[in-house]
Amino acid sequence: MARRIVWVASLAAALALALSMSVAYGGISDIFGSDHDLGSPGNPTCNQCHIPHNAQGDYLWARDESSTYPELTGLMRLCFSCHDGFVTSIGAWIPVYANHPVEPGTEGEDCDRCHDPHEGDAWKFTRTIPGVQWRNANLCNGCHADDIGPVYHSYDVLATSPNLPEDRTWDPYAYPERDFSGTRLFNEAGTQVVHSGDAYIKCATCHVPHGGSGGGMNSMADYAEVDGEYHEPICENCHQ
Amino acid sequence: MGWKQRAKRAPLVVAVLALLIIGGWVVWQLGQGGEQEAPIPSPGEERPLEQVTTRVFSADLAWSSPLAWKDAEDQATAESASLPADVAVVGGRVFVLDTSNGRILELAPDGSVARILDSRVDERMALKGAMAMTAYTGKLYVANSGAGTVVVVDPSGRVDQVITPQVEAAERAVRPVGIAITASGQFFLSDPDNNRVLKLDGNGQQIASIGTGKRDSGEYGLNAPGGLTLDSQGNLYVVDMLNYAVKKYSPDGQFLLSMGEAGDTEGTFSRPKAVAVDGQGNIYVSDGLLVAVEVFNPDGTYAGFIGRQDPADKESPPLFQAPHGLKIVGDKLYVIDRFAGLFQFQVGSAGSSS
Repeated sequence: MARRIVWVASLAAALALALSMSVAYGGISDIFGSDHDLGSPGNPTCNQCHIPHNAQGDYLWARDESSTYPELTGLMRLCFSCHDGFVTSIGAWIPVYANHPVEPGTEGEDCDRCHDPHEGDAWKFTRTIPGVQWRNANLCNGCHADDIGPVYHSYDVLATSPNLPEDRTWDPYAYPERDFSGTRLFNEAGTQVVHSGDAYIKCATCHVPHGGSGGGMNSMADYAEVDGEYHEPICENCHQ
Repeated sequence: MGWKQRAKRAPLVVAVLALLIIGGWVVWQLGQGGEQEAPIPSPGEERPLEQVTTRVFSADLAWSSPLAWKDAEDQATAESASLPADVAVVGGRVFVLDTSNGRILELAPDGSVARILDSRVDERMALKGAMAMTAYTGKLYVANSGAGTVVVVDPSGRVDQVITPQVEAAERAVRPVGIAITASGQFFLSDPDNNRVLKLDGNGQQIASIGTGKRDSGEYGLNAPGGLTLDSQGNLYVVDMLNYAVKKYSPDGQFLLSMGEAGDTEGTFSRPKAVAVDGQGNIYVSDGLLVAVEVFNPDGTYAGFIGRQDPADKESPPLFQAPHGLKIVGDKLYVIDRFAGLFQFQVGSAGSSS
């Protein structure tokens, strides 16, 4: 009996250890079938960023660290190598516009502060942080919970106003004025933008981590004077 | 073996199991700790480059321009090119595709911005994330990637025509990022979102295509094709970006040659973007992660690289930040860098690629 208890306890410990390790590496397989599933016969998906033999960078990333240009330090160089408008048109404007602060070159505080390129099921590859309730389009609250008091706009609620607009233009290539306006409403999980039916307000409805020029990285300004009249563009985006 | 003897061994078994579990946990923690403690090298920390490449291709830097606009007092202002992607030369005049600003810049001989061609000159310009530009019969042909069209611009800034490709339906809308034009006026456009290169007539009607439409490999399979160019014999060169190769096809579309493979050592590619060919048939390929232009011999063997501040010292800091578009006109190689501006090198003998 004692021996059986010992065996069960040992197996349980081993299983717990294995599970804890899998949590640390969990989510990597979500890349398959996602937009980052970029492999072709002879060039596996993992190979698009990692080089298993003779790689020079950390995590076997393929990159030359000898560049000293500030905008291209840390993870940005690897991310930009595809998100440059050439390999993909998504996110091409990010290096040159107002972005959420990061610490280039510091693990966990670079682009990986918010993104994990393996998290194919998340909204825009946002990180799933163990123990953090707020995810996807509400990821902001994972760090900014203390900044958001009860007086701020409600979030994670069903949008019910009959005057809520469709998601409007989002045109970072508009010249001379870039256009990061437009509200975005989401499904309940915050993984997809929705244009009809049940639609929820999330952090990313108003806040734009890449390109937001209003206060608090809002998509639009808090206030503006138009023809002598006082307006609040960020509010009037929805409350028309 | 009786239960008493087994019971006596139980503590030993428990101890061995515990040691294995704890030992495994310690090893795992060390691995995690090592990865967490080792910082990504910060700017200025160099590492040996001999593992990247060992041969420097001979190219003399003639001049470079950071593409800063200067005002009437010849003072640099905040206006400058934003993520420029390509360069083209028309009648000796140098034009830069200022991608994020949706415009084209003409440069003066000293590298300063002489003129801006944008929608204020002709509202049909409407460039949206345009990624490639080439010269043909005295005009600029722009692959207006975000709009899926080709915009033909006169050097004065007037839009001659906007060509909308009439092509086979595919999974995604056409997003042309590479353009090359034959002597007879036929277009090649690379369409990475559909993993194909399209051949069109002068009106934009599809004639042929290379690629199976899905991410594929092999002689006729492509995975996000990017830069294109033609040599003097009309052979087409395609940067097969996510297959880490440059593929050469004959004028009638027959596969001829593939060069390069995935890696970050000499002769390999980490993120190849654009291609150009000189008069001797040498092939130049820009790579955004190797931060260099690699050069291959006409037979596809590796010849060397361009991209260190001191060509005689391969360990010197890089010239480039994110090298992209390439053009060769005569013995001049133009390299447009998304952040660092335009570079002009003296290379080889006379020749050109479009």
